[in-house]
This record gives sequence, structure tokens and C-alpha cells, in this order.
Amino acid sequence: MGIDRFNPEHPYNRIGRGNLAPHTIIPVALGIKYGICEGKREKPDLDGFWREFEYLLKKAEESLLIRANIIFNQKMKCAYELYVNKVWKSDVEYDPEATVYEVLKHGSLTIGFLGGAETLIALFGKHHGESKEAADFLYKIAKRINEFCAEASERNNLNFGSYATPAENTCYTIMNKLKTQFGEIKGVTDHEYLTNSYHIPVWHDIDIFDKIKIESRYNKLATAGNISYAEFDTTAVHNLEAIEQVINFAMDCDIPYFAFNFPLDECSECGYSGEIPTTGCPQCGAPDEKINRYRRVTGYITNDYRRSFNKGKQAEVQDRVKHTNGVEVQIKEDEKDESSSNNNQ
Amino acid sequence: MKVARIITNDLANGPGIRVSVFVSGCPHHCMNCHNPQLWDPAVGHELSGNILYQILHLLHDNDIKRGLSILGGEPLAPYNLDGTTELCRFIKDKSPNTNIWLWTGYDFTEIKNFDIINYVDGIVDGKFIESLKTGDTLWRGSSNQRIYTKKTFILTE
Repeated sequence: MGIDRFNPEHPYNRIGRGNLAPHTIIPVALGIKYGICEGKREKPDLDGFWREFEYLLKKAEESLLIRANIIFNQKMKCAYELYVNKVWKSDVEYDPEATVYEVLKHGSLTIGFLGGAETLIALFGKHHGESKEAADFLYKIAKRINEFCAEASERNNLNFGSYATPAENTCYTIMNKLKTQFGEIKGVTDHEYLTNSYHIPVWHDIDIFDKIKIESRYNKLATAGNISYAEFDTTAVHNLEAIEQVINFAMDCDIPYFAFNFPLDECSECGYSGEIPTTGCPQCGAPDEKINRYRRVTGYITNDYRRSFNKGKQAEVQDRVKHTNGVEVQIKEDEKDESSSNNNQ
Repeated sequence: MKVARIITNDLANGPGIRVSVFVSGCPHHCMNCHNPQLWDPAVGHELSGNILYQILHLLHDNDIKRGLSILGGEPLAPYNLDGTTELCRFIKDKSPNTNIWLWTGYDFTEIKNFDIINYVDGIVDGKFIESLKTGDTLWRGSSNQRIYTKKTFILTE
């Protein structure tokens, strides 16, 4: 939600307020236009990118103001229950004919961000898990959105906030639009979904601590809402000491909202639960159709993910790489006798 | 002794976050072994001062306290015993608080008088037996295998 400028004593209060309207910026098309992915140039045209990005920010502000105007002009009698019971926190007494502005002004208008990884791959050929240059550029984007929100808050005397968008249907529909517009580009539009906000792409094999470290940089700037998660396998979930260490590390990195994903499969025939291979239940041999597979997708754990989410999110779940299997270390070759004897001293 | 693989930030081999060291060479040849490529004692790199210091460094990288897991292969095979003991002694000497676990195919009663017992905090013993395979037992492949921690060493002696 970001800072509440109308509550100077408790600007970080989260109770009784929320995000009123989000507007998500998806700069993937800009990345394709000004990046190296189509082979038109050797270096990305970052000036061109920023020019159009500023335009998108202005459009986001305009569209949020239009929506805010509609929201704020409603009368309290439209939602009697909400305002009589003070679900929205405020000092204002219920008055059926008054507008809701005095109550809802504590909420925030948010500028979201989606598809960071795809934008970076389009621009630089690498995402923020692979290249420092790309990671620093994404940081600039996050910082710019954060600053713009502060500026817009001053300009309009309203709460604007920067938001890490966890798109649900949008991640699939926008990807389809990008595919129609630009065709299939390797790493950018060759999968079924856009990567959430500033996340490391799900398919990238990365160490759990590196992932937390990299994402924490951006999460600090998305003050109106963000999340980081780690993908666990079934054994690691029972490793309580490790989970404690990972949580402590995430807290040391200032991650405000941290989640664990782990596979939970359940056999509807015998009740066996754990990670069940597609070949069938290891206990009773029931076929794949009898297995319910529960996964956390954009924060929701619902019925079997293969029936509950759109095709984009289903593909995303299948692409996910576990972060708990560790990293293979290049063993230091036995160097010549001189250097190894130096090390031993 | 040869070291075939080192995996850091491993959450699947022992309690906590761990550095897993796989030594090569195994005389047991259990059916459907998880790592049959490590049966040959010639695979990998000879344990050297470089590798010892590399492991020590990995244990404390990023200011995270990690444990050490020694797997294989068979770390206690006659040709590996000295190397494994040296590794454990070195780590306990330089970093006494590091928790060391060892996986062996021998029965605990066969190895309980070895010097290495003084340097490890946990042992998982026993061969992998396919018919006793279970997905539920933590840190073990089959239900005949047992976990001994420092506490139970004293009890069994």
C-alpha cells in the first residue's frame, strides 16, 4: 500500500486500507523494440526505451486518476455495510449522501510492473539472474517507478504506490498478444506466460540464497506490495533447520513477504501424499488421472492446478525449477605442487 | 581418496543447509543404487589441500552456517577411510561447530571403533535395499538404514 500521506502519525499503517486500483506497466514490447533480440542492433537503445517508458508512466498516472475520480465520487450509501461497520478505517461518521473520498483517500493508487525478465532478455539477451548489467538496469526501472509514484503523490495529493504485479490471467493473455504482434522470439515470447514483476524466471536454475539476494533489491522499492518465494522439494520441506535458516536469511535481506512453494500430490484412491510421479501412485499404482496435484500459484492454493488455472500458469508450474537441490561446485583442480603447498601453510 | 562431486547449499542431504561431498569408489554395489557412476574409485579429483580449503570456505560462504555431508561412493571403504578421516579432522579442527554427517553402507557395529567416529555428529548406516525402499524416511533410501547422532553413539557404546 505504500505510505499513507493522510495519516502522518502512522504512515505505514496497513489496517483498514488497501490498494484501490492498480495499473500495470508491461514494458516487454518496448524491450523488443529497443533491444538486441531481433538482431537489428548490437547494443540496446536505452534512451529510446526510457523515452517511451516515461510516456507509459504518464499514461498510468492519467488512467489511475480517471479511476480514482469514479471511485471517490461514489456515495457512502452505495456500500452501507462497509462504512457503518468501519471496515475501512477512518474517523468519518456514516452519512448516506456524503462521498467516500474522506474514507478511501487512505487507500493507494498503484503502478504495477510485469514481465521484468522478458524485458531484460529482449533488451540485453540475458535476465537479471544471469547478468549484472541487466540486474542493474532492472533496478533503475524499479527505482524510477518508485520515484514517479512519490512525485505523482505530491502532484495530486493522493497516495500513489509502486507495486510488483503478480498477474493471473494477464500473464497469459498479454503473452498471446505479444506472440501475435512479434512472433516467437527466443527467451522472450517462446513460453506461455509472462514472468511476475521482478522475479527471477521460474525456469532459471539458481541457488536459493542468490535468488533471495537478487530479488530483495527490487522488493524494497515495490512498497505497495511484493512477494518473493522459493521452490522446495518434498525432502527439503521436512528439513526444519534449513527452513529456519532460509527464513532468517530472507529477513536479513529485508524481504517483507516470503513464501515457500512445495509440491503436494495426493492420491484420491489410497490417500498417499507426497510428490507423485506422472507414472502413477507409488503406493497403490493408481494412474495419473486419480492424482490431485496442489501447487501454490500467484499465492493461491486451490484444487488440482491442471484444472484451476489458465494455460499460461499451468505451463509456468511445469517449468518451475527447484531451488533446494544445491549448486554443483567446480572442484578446484590440483594445481602444481608449489601452489598447493602454499595453501597448506 | 578421490572426490567426485561437491554440492553447496544442499537442503536435501541432512538437517539444515549443507555442503555435500561425494567421494568415489564403493564395494557394496547395491541394486538400483542412486549413484552407480561413483562405484569406480578412479572417478574425480584426488583430495588435496586445495579441496580441503575449498570445502572449508564453502561451509561459511555468504555468512550462512552450513553442515557438511559426506556421501558417496563409500566414504569408509578401506581405500577411502584415511582420506575421509583426514577431511573430518581438518574441518573439526578449523571449524569445531560444523555439524558433520556421514553416509555409509557398513553396519554401525562394524565401524564404531574407527577413529573417524570422534569427528562426526551423525551417521546413516546400512546398504540400500530395493525391496525396503520408502519415500517417507528422511535422509534414508530404505527402511533398514538407521540414523545415529552423537547422542546415540554414547548410548550404543
